[in-house]
Amino acid sequence: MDGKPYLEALAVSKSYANVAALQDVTITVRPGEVVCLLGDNGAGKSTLIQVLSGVVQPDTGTMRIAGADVRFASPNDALDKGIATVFQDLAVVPIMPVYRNFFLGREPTIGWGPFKRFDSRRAIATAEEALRDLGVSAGAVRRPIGTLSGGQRQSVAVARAVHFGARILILDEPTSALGVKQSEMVLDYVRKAKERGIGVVLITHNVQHAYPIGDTFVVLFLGRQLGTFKKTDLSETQLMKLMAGKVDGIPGIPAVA
Amino acid sequence: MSASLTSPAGGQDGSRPSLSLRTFLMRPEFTAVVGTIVVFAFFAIFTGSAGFLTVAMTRNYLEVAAEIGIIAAPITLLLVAGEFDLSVGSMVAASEVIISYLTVDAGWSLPAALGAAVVAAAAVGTINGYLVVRTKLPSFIITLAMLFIVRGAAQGVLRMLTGTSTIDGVREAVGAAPSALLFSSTVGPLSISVVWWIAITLLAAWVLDGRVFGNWIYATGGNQAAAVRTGIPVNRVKILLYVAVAVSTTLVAVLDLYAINQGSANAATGREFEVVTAAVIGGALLTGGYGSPIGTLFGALLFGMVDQGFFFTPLPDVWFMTFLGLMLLLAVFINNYTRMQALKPRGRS
Repeated sequence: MDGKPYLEALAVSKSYANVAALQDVTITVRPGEVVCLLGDNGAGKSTLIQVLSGVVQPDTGTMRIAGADVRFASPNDALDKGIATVFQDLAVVPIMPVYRNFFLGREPTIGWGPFKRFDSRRAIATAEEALRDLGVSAGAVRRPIGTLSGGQRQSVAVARAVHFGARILILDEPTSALGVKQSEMVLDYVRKAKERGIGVVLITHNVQHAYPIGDTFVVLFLGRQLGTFKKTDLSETQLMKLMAGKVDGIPGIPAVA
Repeated sequence: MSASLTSPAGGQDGSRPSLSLRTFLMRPEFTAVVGTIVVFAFFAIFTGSAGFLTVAMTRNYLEVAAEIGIIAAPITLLLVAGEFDLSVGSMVAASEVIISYLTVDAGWSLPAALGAAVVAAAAVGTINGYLVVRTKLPSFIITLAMLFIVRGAAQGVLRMLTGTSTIDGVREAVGAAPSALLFSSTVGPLSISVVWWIAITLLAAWVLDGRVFGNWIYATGGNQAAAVRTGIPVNRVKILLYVAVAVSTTLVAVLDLYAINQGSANAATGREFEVVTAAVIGGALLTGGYGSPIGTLFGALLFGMVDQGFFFTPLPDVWFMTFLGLMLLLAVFINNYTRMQALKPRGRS
């Protein structure tokens, strides 16, 4: 985890119609590190995700992958560079079976020329394998993904990103619509991804979810960065206060208005 | 069919779908297959002695079904992709006008005239698709406009060229062209249109469920935002399907030309609704993401049987439309219900 950062966004800013959505924000993610991005509504989380995932380009600032300057032309470009984002809508088709969703846009084929076809046998086997640890039974991969629980759907979307070689996973509020048990399942899976050396950016406004799993915490408030903290430097209570913009008594931050 | 085929608890969690009665009921084809059996039994029992079971009658309703089914198969794929095409009837007429004028009045060979009609149809299909994906307007409106434009053009151009709205004698004009065998011969007691119908249905079913392109069709209609997010070229999918639909109308046109030996600018009026009826009875959803070419085949077969069999019932045939409407409504209710059941959450945690 103490390796070199894989993804870096250095002093990035983004304005919309002269309103600064993001000002001089810096975030770095190492392999196997879970970076929690916290902030209340309107703090600039969504804008930062869009910058990291290649949906928008920052007005100023530098993006780096493995130390080299890059510019993401599109989300697919970011994906090619190992940055996979699971947005809240999950990019799944509810009525399609789980295994077809798993390979959406990247279908395995078998056969040759005009007889090339979707290799459903391999797709089913691979999906079953990848989803085994997620409480998705082997038979369930043939059912419409809409019949799975919210936590399972979220986990399938994350597993899909991992399967297709994500180095950095950006998870946008993965637990916001889930109950306690379901959230636990998703966070458990994030832990497994971390153990496999994948860097994770976890966006949330739920400190109880973030604190146990995070290594580093980036707190945004009204488009500015209140700071980047190691878990050892910060208690859960302090993190709660930070999210509300209360910086008094937090180490390393001058008390400014 | 014993009730023990499926246990109330869901048994193996659907891991053996081939044995589950529930899975069978959830198939999109279910309504159309059962409906076809019921309607066939009905006509066979009550009008069988009047002639419903004769070979001639069978040939008749299969031919009606084939002319609907050949277009309804690609229409099903288009519906699954979430779009609609109301211009197919007028495209049949336009193709008839082009082929019959070029062969009878301009002396072209059948392959050349057919080629010209295919190019024209593909152009209209491309325009349909391009307008739909560029304007993002409902395809209902775009293709309704195209219905009027193409129908009017077929009538207008033919009136300009010949002063009439029909051209007779295509068979005589093309003579015994070898290519005619493809469109005018018979297979046993059946006309060749039935072979085309089944072949095109199987092709559509294979594309939808066997090819990668089929996965893209499902995704485009099932959740376009997700399809775009995962890199599926949704615009290309839609335009290609519009072209496929358009080309299928040319095939129906040439089959029709041989069957009745006349090209008409008024041909296939209302065909656009017949093909959608077949597809919807066959399990397709107008909201996209779901449908089955095999189901549509049975939907077309059902349509053909009712269309021809109704004549034998004691009811005056003016009631045919009402009967058809009620049947469509019933099919939609059943399909909607089974789909809701299929999408009910069954996850345990």
